[in-house]
Formats: sequence, structure tokens, C-alpha cells
Amino acid sequence: MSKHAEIIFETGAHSVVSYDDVAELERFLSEHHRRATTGEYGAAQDYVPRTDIEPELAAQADRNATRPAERIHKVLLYSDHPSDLHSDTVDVDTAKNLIDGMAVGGEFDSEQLVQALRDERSPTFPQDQGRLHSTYKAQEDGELDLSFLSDEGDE
Amino acid sequence: MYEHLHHAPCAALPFEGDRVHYATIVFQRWTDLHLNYILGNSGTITPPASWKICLSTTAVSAMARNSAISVTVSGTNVNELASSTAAGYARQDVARTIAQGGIDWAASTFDNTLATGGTSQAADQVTFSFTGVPSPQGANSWFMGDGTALNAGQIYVAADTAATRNFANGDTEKVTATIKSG
Repeated sequence: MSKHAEIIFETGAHSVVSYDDVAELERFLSEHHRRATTGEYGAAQDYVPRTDIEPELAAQADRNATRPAERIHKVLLYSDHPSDLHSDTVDVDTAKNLIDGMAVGGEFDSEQLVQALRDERSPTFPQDQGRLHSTYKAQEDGELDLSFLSDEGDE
Repeated sequence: MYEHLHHAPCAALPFEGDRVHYATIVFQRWTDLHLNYILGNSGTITPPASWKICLSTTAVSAMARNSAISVTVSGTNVNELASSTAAGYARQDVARTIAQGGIDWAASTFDNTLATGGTSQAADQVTFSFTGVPSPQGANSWFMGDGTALNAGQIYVAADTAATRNFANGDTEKVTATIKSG
């Protein structure tokens, strides 16, 4: 089972990445952050334009390749994909509390309960946590020290 | 000179020539979910806790409505990128909320144009990161699935990428999924 990390970029983009050892993870972080601080592209430069699709879509290939790299803000470490570290089930006490919380006069809105149960089951937060915070409910094992990232390209 | 196409022999019809393939496909599971879960309140065909955006080496033109995600590439099976050597690749979540969570769906928009109109809903952009060269390599499409195990789970919809993209260490790939109904 591969370990996973949640990379939070300064732009607010999030990416889950799998890795076998920290050296592999740091290799990506160093290279992508270097590109960001030197104004290089983040997208793959090795691509072959498609000839079997609509010309309107194929015409986007070159433009997509010029997407810039993004600086790394934070990296959270998990033992597995953070989506798998949150239970698919809802415990009974949580369900009872939800019903108690929305009950009015001994009744509750069934659709409201269904929505609340779906939110409980979701591996990601149903409310915005802020763009530079984790989107996952699972508790991370730790945060990677990013002091190894070079900012030589900064001005 | 104006030519009535219905009077022309088939071989002369202009669309018989350089035909391009449609770039998107809706799979059986997606329609099953709509019909069984929405119409019939099915307890066995249900939506996942969150949607997963994934990359595939298979072009939409090689897929069928009953395509399955499979490590055994035969027929119309869909092969997930990086399923042998991940090189950083992992499936990315889109929450089942509307304009709430960090990465979820925007409010739907309605287009009343005759023939081409419909209701569209766009997800926030997701980002894939690569620590090396994945195997298999060469993204030709993205698809929406469930679960985190590679080359496994359900497949709901897919769309072609603009190019066949080969990844290396330091690369990221972005996908913004838009689902249109009607």
C-alpha cells in the first residue's frame, strides 16, 4: 500500500499524490516548486496533438501545455489515500444527534436528514475550510518540512 | 449550386469523409444511477460518497456504453493511467456538494437553445501530480469513477483530452469536469 500526501499549492489547488518513500515525494516537490519560482510550465511538455477528435478540442492542446507551475504551500502526509481513511458508515450516536438537532415538534425534515447523512459520509468537508487548508476530514499523520525547497528563483 | 442532400447518392454526402469522433461518452452505470436511484429510490445502485476524477490511456472512440475499468485491456475496456507504476498518480476527489466544499460542483446553468441546449454543471478543477514516468503512460481521456483503487470501481462518464500527454517528474495535469444533461 502506497502512502499518500495532500499537496496544497499557493494558488489554493489541491492534489493527492501517492508515493513509496519521502525521497520520491520530495523529488516532485523540488522540481515543481523550482519550475514555479523560475517561471516554467507545470504541464507536461511531452504531448502528441490528437487527430481523432473534434478540431475545436484538439486546438486546445498547445494552450494547455503552457499552464504555469505553482509554488508549494503545504504538504500533509497520510498512511493511505485520505479518502479511504474516513469511514463510509455513520455511527448511531451521530445519526441520533442529527435527528435531535433538526427535530421540531417531534418531527424532522426527511430530506434534510438524508442530506446531513450524505455530508457525514463524505470523505471531504461539506463546508469550505479555506483554500490553504485540507479538504479531507481524515487526520493527517504529519506535515512535511518544506525547508528543503529552494527559493533561488525568488526576487 | 445548391444541392439537396436527400437527392444525392450516399457516397456523395460530405460527412462520409473525414469523420471525427465524439469526445465524450456516458456509460451504462451513469444512466442506471439516474433511472434506478432517482426514479426508483434504489438501495443497491447508489452514488458514491465522493466522485473521483481519473485519467485513462483509452480514447473515447475506443469506449462503449458498457465499458468497464479493467487491467485486462481487451475489447472496449478502459485502462487507467499509471495502474502498473503510479509515479505519484492518485485519483482526485470532487465532493458531492454544490459551491460548498473545497473542491465540489458549481451551481448548474441552463441553456434553452433549441437542439444544443441543456443543463450543465461544472466541478472545480482537480490536479494530478507526477513523481516520475507512470505506466501505462499517455493520457487520452479523463473519466469519473468511484473508489481509490486503480483500474477498479465504477465508471460513469469520460471525455477526451486535447492531446496524448506523457508525464514525467514535476509535471501536473489539470482536469475541470463539466457534466451536461439534456
